[in-house]
Amino acid sequence: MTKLRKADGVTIGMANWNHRLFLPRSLASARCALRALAAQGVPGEVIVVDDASRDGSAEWLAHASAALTDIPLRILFHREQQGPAAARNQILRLARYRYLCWLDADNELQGDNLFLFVRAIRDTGAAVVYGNLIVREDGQITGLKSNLAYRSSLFHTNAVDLCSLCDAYQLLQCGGFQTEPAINSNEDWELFLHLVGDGRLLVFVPAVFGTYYVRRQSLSYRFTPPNEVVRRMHDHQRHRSLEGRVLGRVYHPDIGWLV
Amino acid sequence: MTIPPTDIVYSSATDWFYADLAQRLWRDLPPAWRARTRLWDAPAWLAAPLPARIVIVNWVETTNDPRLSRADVAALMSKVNSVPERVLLAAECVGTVWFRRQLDGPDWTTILDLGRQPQAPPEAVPPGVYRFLRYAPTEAEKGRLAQVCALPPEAFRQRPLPWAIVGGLTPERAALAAALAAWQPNGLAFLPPGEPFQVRADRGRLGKAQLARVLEKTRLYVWTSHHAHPYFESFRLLDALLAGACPVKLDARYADALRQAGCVFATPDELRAFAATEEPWRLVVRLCAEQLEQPSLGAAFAALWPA
Repeated sequence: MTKLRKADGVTIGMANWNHRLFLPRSLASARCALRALAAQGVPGEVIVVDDASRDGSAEWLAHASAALTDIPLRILFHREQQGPAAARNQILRLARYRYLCWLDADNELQGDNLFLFVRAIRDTGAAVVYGNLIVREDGQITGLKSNLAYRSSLFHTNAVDLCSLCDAYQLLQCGGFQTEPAINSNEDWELFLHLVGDGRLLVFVPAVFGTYYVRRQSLSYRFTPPNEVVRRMHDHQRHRSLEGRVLGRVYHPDIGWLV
Repeated sequence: MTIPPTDIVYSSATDWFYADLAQRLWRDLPPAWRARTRLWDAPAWLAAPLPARIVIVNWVETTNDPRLSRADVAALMSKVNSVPERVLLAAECVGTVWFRRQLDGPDWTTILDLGRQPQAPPEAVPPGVYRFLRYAPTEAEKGRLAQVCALPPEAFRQRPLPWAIVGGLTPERAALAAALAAWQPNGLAFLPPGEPFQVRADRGRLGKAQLARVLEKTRLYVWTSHHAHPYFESFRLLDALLAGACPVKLDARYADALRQAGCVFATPDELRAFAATEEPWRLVVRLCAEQLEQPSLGAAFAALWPA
């Protein structure tokens, strides 16, 4: 059942599949973020959905749920793999709090900044606020992701990662993540395009949101997902992606609207 | 003194910095010069009568004006070459492709390099063509700098953003943002992917007013450069000072060559040590005073062509 009423606060949602090695790092950053939020009077929790991992993630998470008693932590296990979209929809439904911070199990949050993003989403009423993700590959910083205002060119190529803070109400109103197999690996991109198409506000906050790790052994390493299906859904005849329009906005809580 | 009829030409449809520079320069010219100088947006200049002297404010940005067709650019080239005195005004590092592309234009009689210190021009620039114009505030901006000097130090300390980095994304700037975030997480990093000729607010970028609003809330306006030559990006210094922020350039390779500015550091650790003191605000006041002593932008420009 969808919880129709969610309290003011932040749920950090992690869908995990075979990221046992990286869970200590990502969960530690989520823990720091909750502590930083608590210091600002913002309640929070972490929900991890393990999507039938086969690498020992389940055992590690079971241990963590017993050991990490200083933060509200809920862990759910799928017996069979359902895919990231289904796992995230489950988090969306179960989240106790209105604002959902998505964290991939191999990435990290800049916990001290999460309150800045909470201020931004409260101030703007946006469906999504996102910020710079520092991209690390082979121990080197190689660039940034999610570092621009949402633009129509994003109908063509995705440059904004799911690692962001979302308004769970608005995501639920838009139907959450598509579990359609044809857009597998593009479900986060499809969701953001869907939100934009629905007239929802996506806001770039020019501060560091977290760290995005690029791993050579990752299944998605240098993999450009086929986007024809998503484009057919949201970018008919490529017209939208060629318009060059700014669709989102840029906001900083200490400055106001910038774009 | 006879001032030849002069046209200043720029594009209002590409990088806002150059359009703004052209307008500020024209407004700040001494009255006798301004009376003889016209300011033109590039497409309109195609139909204008020929002046005796033309000043093109960044040839590359001007010719990439999306309102100009290829035929228009060819016509522009021919027309500029028909003017007896052809001046290019640019603020680029000499070693970059952006500077070299400025040379793929008309046959310049003067290449006017705008910056904090003269650069060694490449061999392709004929002797006598290169000239240097020190970047300076306009008279109107000097008034603002005087106001900044009079602000109390507490106002600087109370600014909410510890640092800001603004520019096109490069790996070096991303690494700098990471280093600064590790020190003070809540800084501002606005580093969208580089898109030449699209540095406009309607492309989701910061315009002049937005940048000023950012810097008015910021203590340290930090930039780094990936140039293979010492190059200061002096326009950033003035942007910072006008907003009362402390300018800081990080340049691991050429810090020693630029250190006389007082705001150039080799590493983030040097910057942290500097930021932990009262020096940043003192530096703002000192640099503002230094700027106030300079001839204004328009006066310095006019002084290059004495009677």
